[in-house]
Amino acid sequence: MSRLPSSSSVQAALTPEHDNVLDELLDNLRAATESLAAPAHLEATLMSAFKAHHAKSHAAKRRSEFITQWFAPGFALAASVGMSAWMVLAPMAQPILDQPQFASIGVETGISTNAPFIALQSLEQIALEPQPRLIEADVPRMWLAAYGVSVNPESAGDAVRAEMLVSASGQPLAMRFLP
Amino acid sequence: MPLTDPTQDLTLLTEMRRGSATAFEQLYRRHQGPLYRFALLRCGSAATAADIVQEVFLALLNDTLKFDPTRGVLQGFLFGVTRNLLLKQQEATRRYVPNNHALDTDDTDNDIADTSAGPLEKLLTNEAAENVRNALQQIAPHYRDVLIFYEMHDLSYVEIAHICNVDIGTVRSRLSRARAKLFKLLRPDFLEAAAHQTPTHQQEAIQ
Repeated sequence: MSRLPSSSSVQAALTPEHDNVLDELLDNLRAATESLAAPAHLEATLMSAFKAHHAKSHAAKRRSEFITQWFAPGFALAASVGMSAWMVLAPMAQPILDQPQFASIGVETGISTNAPFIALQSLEQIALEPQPRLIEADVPRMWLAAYGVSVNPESAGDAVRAEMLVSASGQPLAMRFLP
Repeated sequence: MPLTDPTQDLTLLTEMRRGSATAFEQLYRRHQGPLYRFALLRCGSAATAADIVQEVFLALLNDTLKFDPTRGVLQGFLFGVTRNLLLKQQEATRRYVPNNHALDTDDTDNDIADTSAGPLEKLLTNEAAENVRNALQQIAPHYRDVLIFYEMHDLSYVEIAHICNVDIGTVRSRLSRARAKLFKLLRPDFLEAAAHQTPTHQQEAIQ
């Protein structure tokens, strides 16, 4: 019996006998192909790709969690006291970053040191830090609002790239947003 | 009727997005077979079918596909993605691209696929099945899609309409024409088979 429903509104182009023979041939094709599968190596390739993708995502997530843990309280405090002006290190950044312990940071990370930093600790504390390091991470765009930058509510949840100067123990010292 | 449980698919997809390699592995094993077989019958090349399946699952793991569970089941979605990738591949290599408006008219030139790309590789050891597969390659792609989904994967008219982005009437029409074209291409085989099995007076009735 043909697999086409008898209530089909389309006039059948084949006789019932032809339909039956065609169905048998199609059943044969189905049986001959039902055990076919993608090549075995494809699964291994995809599993490797999956692990690589999630290793990268995990590292990015850990950086973001670190930034959130250390910087969110500072940004919340800044916003709560109504700080609308940038506290920039621009006039001070070069002298501080010229000190020996900072000399290799830019080279190691490949990050430009020309943009101004926002001090999160006193300049004295930053200058006294023996082993500072620069890290790069994605932070919520809404953090810009704490520094007087207008943020579109629709994009507040988006991520912006930032560089963080942190102490050896991970304490945030300064940061700057990257274009 | 879907071949996999949609609820389980959704659970695996959620776990996969959370980083579960096991979930991704299970999703792959559940869906690679039907997708591969559809791609294989659709394009006639084992290598291309494998490439397409790989591309589908790479897009899935990179979360670039944006599957919306409120709009359908994962299997249908993956079939649609596979079909679209095959269409892009086909358009890149095809010499004759029919006008979309003419796809479902009575113009019989649109019912025959462009086979000038080269000889088909032999894929099946079953000769009768291989003959049907070769005949399938000679049917226009938009008819072939519907025939494969309906006859090989038991998808409903509604599911096929959603995958192919056409209405149900068009699915019925394409399926009917596809079967008619397939019969026309395989007719000599029918007659030969009938001649060996059927008494003379019944042979005349079939012809």
